[in-house]
Amino acid sequence: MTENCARVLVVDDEQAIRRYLRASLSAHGYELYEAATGQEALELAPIARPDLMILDLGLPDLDGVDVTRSLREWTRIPIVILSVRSQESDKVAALDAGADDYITKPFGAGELLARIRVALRHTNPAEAASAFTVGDLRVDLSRRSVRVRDQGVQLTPTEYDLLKLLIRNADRVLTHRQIIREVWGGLSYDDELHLLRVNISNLRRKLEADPTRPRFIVTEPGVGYRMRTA
Amino acid sequence: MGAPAPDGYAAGVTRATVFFTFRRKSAFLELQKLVQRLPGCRDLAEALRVIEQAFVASIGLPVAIISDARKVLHHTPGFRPDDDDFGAARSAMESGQPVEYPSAGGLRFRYSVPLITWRAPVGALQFASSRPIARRMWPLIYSFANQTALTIIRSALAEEARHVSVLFETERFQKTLLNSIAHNVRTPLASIIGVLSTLQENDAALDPTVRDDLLDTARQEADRLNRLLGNLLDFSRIESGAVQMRADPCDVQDVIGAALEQLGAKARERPIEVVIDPSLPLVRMDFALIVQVLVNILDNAMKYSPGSTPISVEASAGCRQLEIRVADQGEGIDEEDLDRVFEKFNRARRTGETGGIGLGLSICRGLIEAHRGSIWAERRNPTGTAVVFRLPIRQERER
Repeated sequence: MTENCARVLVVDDEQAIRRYLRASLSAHGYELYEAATGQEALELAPIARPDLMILDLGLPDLDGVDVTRSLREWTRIPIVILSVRSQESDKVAALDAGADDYITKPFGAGELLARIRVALRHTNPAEAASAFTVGDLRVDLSRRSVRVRDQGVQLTPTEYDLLKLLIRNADRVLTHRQIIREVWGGLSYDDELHLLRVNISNLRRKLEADPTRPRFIVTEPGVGYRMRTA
Repeated sequence: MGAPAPDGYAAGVTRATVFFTFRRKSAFLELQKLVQRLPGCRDLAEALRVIEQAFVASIGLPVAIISDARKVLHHTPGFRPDDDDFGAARSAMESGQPVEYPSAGGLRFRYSVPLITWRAPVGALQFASSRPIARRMWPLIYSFANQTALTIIRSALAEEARHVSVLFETERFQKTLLNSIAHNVRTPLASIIGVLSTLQENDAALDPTVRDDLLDTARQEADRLNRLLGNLLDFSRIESGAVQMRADPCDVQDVIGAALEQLGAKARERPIEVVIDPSLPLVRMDFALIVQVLVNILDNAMKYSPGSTPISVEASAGCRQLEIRVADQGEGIDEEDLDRVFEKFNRARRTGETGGIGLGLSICRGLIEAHRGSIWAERRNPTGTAVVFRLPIRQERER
């Protein structure tokens, strides 16, 4: 797996973490840049022009959420957030501010590589295909057709929009707020969270073999949902 | 006294003084009744109210009780001490002698009596009269002052004792916690360091299957350390009251699903039957925290029952409450230990080395109680344990 030559900027103040990332990412062909502070990251990003950024939330100088906001003023490069378990609300704030995904420390190398691949894929619009297949779920976006286990499935317009959004962002986490903004717009967050839960529950009942152990639409507790293809 | 006492009051006081000789016997009777009533008082405020009422009833004069910190602890309605009174109280406390001082208005004669204890004076008793206090009244007044002083110092001592016992409890608790953490951190660390050093020293000589086995062990132990840390963090957040609760409408099926997902392979290798009442509405709760509760309960159920036996999760609603019941077919917990499993560091006795420091269920209880819910354990017939929790369902739109 050395066909990658994507450039990755790693921002973390822990040297041990940077070393670990350097070892595992270089082994997969990524070219690495490193920054230990938020300020350094903001200075390095326009010079190094990385294809992806791995950003720790707990930096000594700047808040990771603020770094995300500053970057989003001028670039769309994918940002994968590194967080620890007690930072739930910061994590959601960073995602809402435009980060693409997150991973919780401690994490395995395989998990991180998967997140990086997904984040890089979503910057490449050529791959936005109209047909989508995971296991026995087939969705043809051009014909608005949804089939599970070779059976046609009837979805309400909202359920379909929701499914489409999840598919367009396959393998990537979407926060409640992001989904609500895309699918509903308007009303109060609380009302729509209610609608979101109900629609996810209905979608699962129609698509999943066992809605209690969903295979496609996975819940990220306290954050949102993810369409899982792996 | 800042505001002159109302005329009626002054008149009443005069009458009381005139009839004092008549009332002398009944006055001592009041004092006796007071001494009997004081031990039954729930707190200092109630005791001082009782003293003030007895003083007014037996001596017929308004009274105020001032603390050594210039605080008015209690006073007869309308008889609020002013700066003159605080000044007099201070000199009474300093000299240890009653102070008499004049004042304008109907109650021209003012007195401050120090509340003397074996420690420093704890305050002063202030009262006022329209004429000088007769000498024969003083023993009665001193008795009141003594009762007041005793009451205040007793309350202060009780407060100190309570404080000390809390300190002691905290210290003992921290010691247990530290010992337990040290043990539970060192054990997995020992195997991780062992594996790493083995690999560092004899990597080339190792059989690949042995090598994989070692790495698996190290990984499992590291995961265990991580879970322990997570639990400790939750625990300290609950203990310090720092848990910020959300109350979002949640789909119970989603909550249970997320818990099973979080348990990963462990939950897939085990038969787990999930039964959810289809009429359940969305229930307001903190999604991530209730997932944590379920993970801890399920983890316990899996740990303490044989690997092939099924575990059931049932969710139902009744009486505006959500009830989730997690049942295993393990050995079960003795009736008298059912409540103890929710206490800190209390693992069921027979379990031996299953890992963990016995915080899981105590965290569950903390989180459920923060949701105004309840949690308990039941013994199942013929064998096994059910851990049940209930959360209130607020009126919501139906699904």
